[in-house]
Amino acid sequence: MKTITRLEVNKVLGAVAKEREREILLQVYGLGKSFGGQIVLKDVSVSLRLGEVVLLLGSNGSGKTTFLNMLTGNLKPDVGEIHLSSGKKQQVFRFPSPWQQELNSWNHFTPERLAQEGIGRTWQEVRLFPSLSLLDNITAASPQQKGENPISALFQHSLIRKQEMRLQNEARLKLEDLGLQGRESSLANKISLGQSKRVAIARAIQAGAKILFLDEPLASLDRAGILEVVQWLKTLVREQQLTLVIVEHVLNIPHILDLVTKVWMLEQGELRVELPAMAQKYLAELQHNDIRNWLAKVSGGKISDRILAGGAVLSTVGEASVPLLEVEDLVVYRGKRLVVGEQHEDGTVTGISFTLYRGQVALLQAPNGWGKTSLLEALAGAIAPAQGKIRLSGRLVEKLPSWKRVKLGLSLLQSRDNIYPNLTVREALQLSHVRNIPEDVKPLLHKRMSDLSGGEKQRVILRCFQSRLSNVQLIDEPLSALDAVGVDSVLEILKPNTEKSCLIAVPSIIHTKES
Amino acid sequence: MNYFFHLIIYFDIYAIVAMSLNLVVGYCGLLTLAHAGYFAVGSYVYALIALKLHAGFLPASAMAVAIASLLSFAVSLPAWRFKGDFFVMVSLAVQALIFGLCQNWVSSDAEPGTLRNLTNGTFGLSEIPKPDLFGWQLNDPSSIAIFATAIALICGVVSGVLLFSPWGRLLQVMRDDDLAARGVGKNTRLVKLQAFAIACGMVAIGGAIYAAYVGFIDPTLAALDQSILMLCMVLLGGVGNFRGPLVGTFVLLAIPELLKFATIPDGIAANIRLLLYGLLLVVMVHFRPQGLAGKYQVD
Amino acid sequence: MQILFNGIITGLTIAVFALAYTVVFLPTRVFHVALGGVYALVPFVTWSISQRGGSTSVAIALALIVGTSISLGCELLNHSFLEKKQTGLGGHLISSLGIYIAIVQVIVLIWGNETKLLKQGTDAILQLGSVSIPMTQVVGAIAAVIVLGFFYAWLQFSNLGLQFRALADNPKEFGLQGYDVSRLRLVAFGTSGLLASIASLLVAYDVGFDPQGGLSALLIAIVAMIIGSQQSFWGALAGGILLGVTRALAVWVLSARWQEAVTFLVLALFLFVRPNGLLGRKGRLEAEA
Repeated sequence: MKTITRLEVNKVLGAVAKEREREILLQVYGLGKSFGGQIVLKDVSVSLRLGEVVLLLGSNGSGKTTFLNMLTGNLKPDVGEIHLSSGKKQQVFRFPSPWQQELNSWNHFTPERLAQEGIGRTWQEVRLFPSLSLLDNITAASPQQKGENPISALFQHSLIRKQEMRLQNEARLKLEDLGLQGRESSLANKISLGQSKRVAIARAIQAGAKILFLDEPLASLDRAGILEVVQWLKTLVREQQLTLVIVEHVLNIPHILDLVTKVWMLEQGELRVELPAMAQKYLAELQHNDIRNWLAKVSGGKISDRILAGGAVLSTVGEASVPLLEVEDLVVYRGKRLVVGEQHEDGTVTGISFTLYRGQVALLQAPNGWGKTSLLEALAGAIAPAQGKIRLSGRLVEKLPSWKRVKLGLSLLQSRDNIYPNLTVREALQLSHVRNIPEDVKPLLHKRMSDLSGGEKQRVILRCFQSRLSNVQLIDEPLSALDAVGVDSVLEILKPNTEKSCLIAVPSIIHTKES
Repeated sequence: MNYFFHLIIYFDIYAIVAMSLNLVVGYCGLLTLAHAGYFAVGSYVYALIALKLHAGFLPASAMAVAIASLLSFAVSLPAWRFKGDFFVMVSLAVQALIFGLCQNWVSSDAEPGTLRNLTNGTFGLSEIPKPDLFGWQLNDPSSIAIFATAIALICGVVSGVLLFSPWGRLLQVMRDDDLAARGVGKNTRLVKLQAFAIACGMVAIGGAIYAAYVGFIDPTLAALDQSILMLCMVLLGGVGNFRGPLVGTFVLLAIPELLKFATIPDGIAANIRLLLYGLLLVVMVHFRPQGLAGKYQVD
Repeated sequence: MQILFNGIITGLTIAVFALAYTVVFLPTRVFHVALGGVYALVPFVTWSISQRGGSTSVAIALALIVGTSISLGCELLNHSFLEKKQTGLGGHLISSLGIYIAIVQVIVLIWGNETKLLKQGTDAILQLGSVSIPMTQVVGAIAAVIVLGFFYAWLQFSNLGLQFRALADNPKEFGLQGYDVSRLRLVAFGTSGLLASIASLLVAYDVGFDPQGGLSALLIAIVAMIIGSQQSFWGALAGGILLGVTRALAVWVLSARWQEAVTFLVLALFLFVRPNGLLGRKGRLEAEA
């Protein structure tokens, strides 16, 4: 038995005491939220201290986005309390809020109110102001600008100019820190994604953030971009005493784990506080159970991998025979953002190309934000691609609407928003021309789709999907938020079948040499 | 020659209208059908104060601006809750209300301008005095034209200073991404209140000039047709920048003049103009959503 | 009691027009403002045909066809193209507004600006206890009930109605399942035109019609939809009846002039207290405050 020396005990006690000395900036009691009868968050209570770097971890559908939105004022909890001490005075928000508070518009629970108290956030899609230059993006975020009062803007011209000059200098310095001097007047869409994510962080800091909530900051980034952002975050924590809450997908953990001091694990709506080492264990477990391993087993080990741009891997099982789906140079934009395809230095864009043969199963493993859903939607006809060709059994289909492609044998199983909320189960099955209703669905027939539990929904959706006569099946993240029964039935569909071909999209990690 | 001054005065009035509507449509991104209502409020308040209290132009129009700005809450508060399309219907309701007030606040057994008969209903208010600048009466078209142009220039300067100030940048930020703006602490609700108050106040000035120049006003000033005309003018010219509204004003005035060349009888000229506007709106949405000279696409 | 009856009868007409609007809005999110133009035009067509010696039924039938066709035209020639270009909702609204303006101006150019009447002579009165209702209103109410009944039955029990409801619930998934979305959009616009035409004839026969009445009637219909429920087809019926009764009460307690103010107040009340409408269910997933 190892004896513990007095010195060691004191060290631990000292560390604990030091930790306790740091003030609590945010305390949350019993937060709960449900959407349409489904409980998303249950009795969540945590506290956040100055200088901590918390990792908010959870799989898709675990409620982490909801929790994030609640802590930043974008969503009102159904029940619970939030105590915020990051501003000058402590603010207490109770839910449900009494009707008197609804009328008092000065003390509302809103994003701008919380931002003024020191809560900042970034979004997964960055959301810099598109019509403003980089410099203006940061300058505009400065709090307490006299010039934002129209009366002052008209009559206190010189005072405002002075303040504006000062703020612009601050912004300029921040851009310099990011290595963007000389690019102040560029628009937001002219810099790389990694750079724009850092500008967004700088903007939130300029706005006075003491606690910064980062929503999947590493999404869509390549290896270089991830290193950039992680370095920047490390600098911020060290030099500016910022407190961070990073929401990340489970599979991006390895990159930020040495930065993190605490982990908030969200599972089925409940939150557990863990040490960072725990997260690593969780990740290892997931890797062990993933689809690729299952696929390799099922095919007897004959699996071939191909690397696509942006860190995605296409793993294919099965022999090449008759091409069913041919994709050539496909590029997809969502609004102004390039989501599928690769942009080069000179501004040209090359798209994704691959071919699926009859009897093959292909697994597309790509990180969150790579564009998996957009790719599948473009193939199915829900979005129009910017360039590229898509062939179904030899026929060009990229200009056809989705229903015509279905007639040609293609079908897509979406991962979310895939039900008709107001129809009953019987009606949904009727729409899908399901003839034989399985036993486990029979008791649900008269219920509305939106009233079903997650598992029940999945069962019905799978049944509807299976009855579609298609030979090219696209499946988007089939295993997110499923129970055990659900996983088995999904795997049934995914097994290689000589008549059809299947493309499955799943999230993955980017492998870096270090981890 | 008088006709030339007449055109200038109308250009000034509608330029003021267009610049004010630009704030709402081009910078807040909201389509409003209530703007003619505030124009009418400006006209009626000016007329009543000038007629009953024999006040000069400046105090009377200042009052008009104040009242119109106060009434702007009727549209700016709903703007908090309503996104674009529903907001249009709310503005339509406000327009109906204001028109109703102008038309119905009448009583046959009371003098116009009294509490029981504030607007004189469909009979309107007549013999409104020409602008009186601290005793100096402006009677002939040339002096009114100069006066109107001066006011329009002042409105233009105010508009420009505001749009290029941090407040103007705040409007752009709000238009670009309301949620992100709130995320950095900007109170976009307050900004909307301010923008509407300024827009409604400014259009009331246009209404006051109109009342002083024409001398007669009635509830048709607040009619839906007028709001639609204003909206069309601004959408066709373009919004979201400084010159779009001016182009729109020019086109608005140019069309009837061109129609005159085509010898279309005056009686139906107004209808043809509106018809053209309707068709142009459809064409514009398909082929040039930012209008002739604007920057922002109403989306 | 009389007021209740009057209110319900007016409410039914509002409900038909509100349904016309909802039938396009729910599946496509388009603000079919041009419907106001259809509403304005249809009685004029009926009137002209009657003037030229056509029988009432022929006049009505032709007018209904015209109304339906114009609404279909809006989709075929306007909205479907904007949809392909993925234009935002504002673009659809502005173009629809442009069509409305054009239709109204055409009406004024052809028929002039005055109010006209469709019914000839005076009405027989139906007496039900203490309540007296003019025959036109009785016929109108019965017609409205039949039309609404047919529509809701079609919606709930027919296959096409099921597809329609599915389209309204989730247009993307509907297309991904293989159903022809563009065909169903045509069904939506066509039904909308038909319902709007019926609603406008109900009112035209009762109190007359003029070129400017379209947009204000549309406003009332939209308020009815909002207070009923923006998420279901039944909202139009619930909101319509409620609004009809409220407006009738307003006329009795205050005076006819204040109907618009009351309508606006009811809207404001619902938006602050019960924004999902009478029939609305709480909380769709909103990520915004």
